[in-house]
Amino acid sequence: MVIKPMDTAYVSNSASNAAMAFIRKNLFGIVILAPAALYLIGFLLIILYKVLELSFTFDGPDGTLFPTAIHFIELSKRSEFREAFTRTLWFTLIGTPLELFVGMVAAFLISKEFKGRGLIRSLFVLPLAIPTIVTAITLYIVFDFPGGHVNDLLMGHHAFFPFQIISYPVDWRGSEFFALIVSIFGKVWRDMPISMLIILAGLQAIPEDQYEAAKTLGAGAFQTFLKITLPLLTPAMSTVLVLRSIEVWKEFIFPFILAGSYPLLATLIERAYHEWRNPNEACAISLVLLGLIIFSTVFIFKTLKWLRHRLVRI
Amino acid sequence: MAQVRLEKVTKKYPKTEAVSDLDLIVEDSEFMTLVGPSGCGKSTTLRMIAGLEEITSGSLYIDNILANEIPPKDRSISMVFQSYALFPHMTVSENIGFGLKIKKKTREYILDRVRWAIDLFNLEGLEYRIPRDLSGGERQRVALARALVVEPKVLLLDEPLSNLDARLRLKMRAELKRIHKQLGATIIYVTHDQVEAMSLSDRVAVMNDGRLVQVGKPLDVYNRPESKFVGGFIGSPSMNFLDGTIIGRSNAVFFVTKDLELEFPKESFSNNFGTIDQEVVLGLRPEHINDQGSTKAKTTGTTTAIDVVVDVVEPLGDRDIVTVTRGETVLTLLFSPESGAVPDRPMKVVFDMSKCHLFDKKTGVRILKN
Repeated sequence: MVIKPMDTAYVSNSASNAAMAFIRKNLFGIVILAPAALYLIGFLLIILYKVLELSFTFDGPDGTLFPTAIHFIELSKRSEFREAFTRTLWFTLIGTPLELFVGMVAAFLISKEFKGRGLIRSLFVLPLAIPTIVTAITLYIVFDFPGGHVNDLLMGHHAFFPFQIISYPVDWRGSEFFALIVSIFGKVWRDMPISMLIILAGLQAIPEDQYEAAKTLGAGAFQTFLKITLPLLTPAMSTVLVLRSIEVWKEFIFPFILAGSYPLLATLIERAYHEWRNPNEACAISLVLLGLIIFSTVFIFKTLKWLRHRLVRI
Repeated sequence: MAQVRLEKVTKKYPKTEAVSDLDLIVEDSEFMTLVGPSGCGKSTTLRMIAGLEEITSGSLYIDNILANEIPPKDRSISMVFQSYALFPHMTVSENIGFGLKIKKKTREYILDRVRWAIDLFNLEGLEYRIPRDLSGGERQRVALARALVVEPKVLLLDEPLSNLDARLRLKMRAELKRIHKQLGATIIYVTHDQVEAMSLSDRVAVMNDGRLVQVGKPLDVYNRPESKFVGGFIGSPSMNFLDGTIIGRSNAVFFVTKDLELEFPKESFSNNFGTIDQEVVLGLRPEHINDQGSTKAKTTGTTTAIDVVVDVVEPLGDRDIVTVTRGETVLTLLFSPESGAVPDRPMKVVFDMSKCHLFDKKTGVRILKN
């Protein structure tokens, strides 16, 4: 029994020696990684911890309850939450494939060498250069009611478009359908360059001999696209879908400006915090959103893997 | 299988002419090799036959059908690329079955044919691997299987062995020859390696600078090169070239350079020269200059031995490549290891002048009419 304290002292001493040796050996790496680690701890881990804590804590008149699902239950009873949930689902289901599709079309347009390609490519990247809030406000003005530009145009007020499509101005932002469509339009327009560049990089990584081999083996343009281009593009496509779907799930600015009366989950967080004065439920909504994002990411990865195999199976 | 005929086929790029007025007939079931140095237009020719490059002018007939405007997919050809161009997202079976699947064959038929190709190329056990997990030789065999399984009229091979190591290349060479014998396919093979060209082909077509310079059976091309270029390109080590003059003297004909004076054997050369006193290039293959003591030297009939100094000896095992000098003249020779050539030592060599080639000094065209 006398030996034991000495023993532990020896062990802890050797452990601290090993730690010191590790630090000395990897000092450069530690110094380089420290800012990133501090950033993650400060802006991710602590916040996530607080969000989890708030979401599952209930401060009632009879004391504090933890853990409790009461906020989630309360939320599920709110029609505002259920509507926002459905809207977000539609917003993402339409917006994400649309981002991929528009990016692909743009990428295919400029993937082949042609005169003026540089100019077209620069034009396509332009939306990234405009601050999102400016884009959103511009759309706000363009789709204004009753005097917005789109209304003017569709009512035949302009000489270059002499067709009267509608007789009365449409209150775009006052209609749930149009408000969300315009938000999706803004989101897709603004993000198109990112999708396009990722797809373009993917396209250009496919060696020319793949197409030539397919041609000599009897494949036409459509078959080549289906069996070669598309499967070889799936890594780029899954990158686009995952990155973009995360962005679309948590999209805030466009719906906040353009669909103020029809909140999505992301804008509902703001409303819960400021209007309901209920930080716990705001945190609960953000956790629901996080869950959705994780689920959809896994789903997209799995689906694309399956698709890739399905396309080439004998 | 089918005949391929090229008539005055030309390929022009904006700045260069890659192939000029190429006339070539590849017979049914023939193994034809296009050989030449890099940039000679051989790959471009193959790609024009495949339909991957437009033909600027001239006509291409596959199976007696004008094929200039037929898209590659309808030409009944298939091609093996230097890079193999296997589809990285498909397994070996899927790669091999690709062409048949595209042609909408039944699943049973495809599986049957894939089975056949896997047996033919000894790919058992690799059916479900993807190309990334295959060795170079295996990828090569998959590429060949993929091309052959669609039963093309013509099989086009673009330097298919150049990415393999030396041992594997020998093995695949034999494999290719076996496949050709077994299937009787019309094969057009492109290579810059003249050894491959010699060993594989029924006939070789030597190209240089966008032009066809000689077509013939490998041994004919080897034994009777029509130009200095062909003489130098076919054969390894390369043919020795000597600049000199033909001189008639006291009833005999000599080839004279600054360092050498060589007599032509009378009987075979009596009427073959255009002119005496003409400046020519004499070509003689390394194996036709022998050391004086060898049995080969004794059978040539020439008795005059020439003194040379050995510079470098490269032993290959079965023979030595020996570089010798006489004055400013440098010669590459092939000796048996028993020759006893030692660097910096003098020795006597015998030129087998009955095997020599004479080329015009300006045009490089063959002069000797034997």
